Amino acid sequence: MALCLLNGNEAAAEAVRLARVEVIPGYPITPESPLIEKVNQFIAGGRLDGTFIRVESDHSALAAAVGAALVGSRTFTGTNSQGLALMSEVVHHTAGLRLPVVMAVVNRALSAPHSRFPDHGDAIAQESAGWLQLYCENNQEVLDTIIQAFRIAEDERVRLPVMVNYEAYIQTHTSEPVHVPEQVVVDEFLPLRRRPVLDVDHPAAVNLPTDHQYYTEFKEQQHGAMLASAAVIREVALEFFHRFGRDWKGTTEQYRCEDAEFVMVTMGSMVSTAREAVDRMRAAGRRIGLLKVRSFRPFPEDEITAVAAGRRGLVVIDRNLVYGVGGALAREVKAALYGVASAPHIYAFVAGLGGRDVTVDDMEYMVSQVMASGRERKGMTAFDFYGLKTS
Amino acid sequence: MSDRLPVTPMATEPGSMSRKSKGAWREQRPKIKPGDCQDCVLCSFYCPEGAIRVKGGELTINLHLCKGCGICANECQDRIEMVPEFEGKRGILA
Ligand code: SF4
Ligand code: SF4
Repeated sequence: MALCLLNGNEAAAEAVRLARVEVIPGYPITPESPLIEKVNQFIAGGRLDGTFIRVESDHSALAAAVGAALVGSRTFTGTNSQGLALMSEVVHHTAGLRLPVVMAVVNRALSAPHSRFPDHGDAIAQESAGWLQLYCENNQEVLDTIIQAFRIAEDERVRLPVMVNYEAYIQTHTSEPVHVPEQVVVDEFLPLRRRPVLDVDHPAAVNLPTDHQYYTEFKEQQHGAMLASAAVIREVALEFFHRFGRDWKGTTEQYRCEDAEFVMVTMGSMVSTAREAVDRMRAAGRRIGLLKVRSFRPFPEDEITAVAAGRRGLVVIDRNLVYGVGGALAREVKAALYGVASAPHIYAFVAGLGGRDVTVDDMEYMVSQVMASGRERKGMTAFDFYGLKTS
Repeated sequence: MSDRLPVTPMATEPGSMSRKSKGAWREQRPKIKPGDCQDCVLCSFYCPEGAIRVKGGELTINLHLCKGCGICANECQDRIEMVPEFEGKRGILA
């Protein structure tokens, strides 16, 4: 194992190389472009025996990925924001056809107004497309999660595509020490299980017109696979830990939650910031913990209700906005606790939109405001824009 | 149900759609006009449902397969015209 200084895109590219991905269609988009460049360097240098397909749009990139996956190739692509929005039609196809494509989504704010900066809104807009969505807090997790994602996607119980999310610039353009595992260890963890759907010797038509007789049943099957994937994510994380020594827990992780009165809940890069905030508040004698949501889809409802039991409040911080509702994570947390007797108060903040920095101080301030007021604003759509400029 | 459906929505038997009747989709149907046929088979090449057979100037249209798109009548206005599938009160547009 080598310890390297890698930014998020480089870490993702190393994972693509180690996973021995065979087909990589790509339409580079800022700030994901260096990922595609790095993958191509690996191919050109003979370090990855894969095929890069140049296409004319993100829509075509994922369409090419669908074709490659249909014949059983291990397939990867990357995109973000406008590119993901353009892909959207094929995003649904990929999941409906049950293809184990893995895609890096470099979370970037959606236009308008135009922005190149971090925001989870692009992936959240695809929440009902049927892909698993995993969010990474640092570059090591990006590398490890892409390797895990292929195991999860290709598992017989799942057979669904996976988005691995990491944030524009905060992760793509920030270098961190990252352990790059040996090829032989990854090969043992991730054998290629080829499962072609199309095969020239047995002609078939995929995505056939399906009327009211079977559409519901196909959707029920897809839903069942999404539900079943939660156990697979946990299983794969545990096996990964045993082989590689790094424990990403699975769908959520509790950090210093023992005896916590208030628990912060967030995902993505804000998790690593929240860890510091918790440490600082703990050092000052405040009983604060953190729940990292690693998997937004499937949504780990059981772990939300478990961590909520006996707390005074949950402080949910979202880097996305569903207009008219608030943050998507807070919405899911509220739904998970619906009807739960003595559920804690939920304080929802939308922060860091379009890349506005959310610092340890900011998080500490949010939690202290909550602790001081103790007043919960009830309702599905109640939340605060953190740090809103009023003049 | 799940044990009968494939994981990937697909038809594994080529041509199985041709057994499905498209007759009920029609609002109009092709009608053969009297006259000479060139035997050029353009109509049958363009028909997306494979509903037309031409042999020795004899034209047959399989109304079980024909979906009423009117492509054939557009290709050969001399020999084919589209007429409403339903007349009077049963007509969708008439
Ligand atoms: S009906 Fe018209 S198009 Fe068809 S074979 Fe005859 S002449 Fe050609
Ligand atoms: S109307 Fe359309 S489907 Fe019917 S015979 Fe003509 S071309 Fe074929």
